[in-house]
Amino acid sequence: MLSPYLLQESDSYSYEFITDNRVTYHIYFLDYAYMFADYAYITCPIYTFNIDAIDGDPTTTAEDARIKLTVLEVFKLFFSRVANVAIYVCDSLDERHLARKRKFDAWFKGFNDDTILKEDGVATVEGVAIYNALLVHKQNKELAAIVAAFNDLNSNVGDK
Amino acid sequence: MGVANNSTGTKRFLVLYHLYMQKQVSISNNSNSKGASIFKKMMEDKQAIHAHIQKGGKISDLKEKFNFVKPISITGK
Repeated sequence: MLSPYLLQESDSYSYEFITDNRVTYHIYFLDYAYMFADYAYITCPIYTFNIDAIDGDPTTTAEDARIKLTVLEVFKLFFSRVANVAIYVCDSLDERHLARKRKFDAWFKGFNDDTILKEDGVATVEGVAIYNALLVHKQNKELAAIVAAFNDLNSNVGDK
Repeated sequence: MGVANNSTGTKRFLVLYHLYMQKQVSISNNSNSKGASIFKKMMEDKQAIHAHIQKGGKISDLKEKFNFVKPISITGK
């Protein structure tokens, strides 16, 4: 039976794990509570979830199910605090943003035990589509307000 | 010869029409989301951090520039 990789606190700012294929990943969160500053009634902590390969090339190695299990473990820990809110933004720099979205969607599908709501968004920035997603615990007291604000931020200027 | 000229003219028209339509699509796609500046900042932060660590830099080097947080405990504390 597969198990998650050992997650280590490499420093005070990120988590790290090393795969069987010798690819080192860093997982880090950034505080973006200010993102909802215009929605003053939202008081939950809001973070972006980020995962980055820092050593080794993940595109040259076969699909590794243990990476997914490790990410799911992080989500599980993250949402042990019901108030936590996560936003994931797919990097579009190398045109692989759709592949990243599919991967993130697959990770989430494996994780969700119906306790977490995932809302997908597509923001338009200077004509470029930025795929993003919001993850909120369904027991979060500000759930409806957070989802509404998230959709509002993704909507185009001029939309109702 | 007249047929060839006609064909060239049609091709030119089609190329110009194609370019015109591309411009129209580009203009219509240039609208911004209400949170465009926030998403742009998120993307720029992500890319800057990625570039830094790809060059062998450490995340702790960037602690003053970005608001890193550790919202979970893997040690159970």
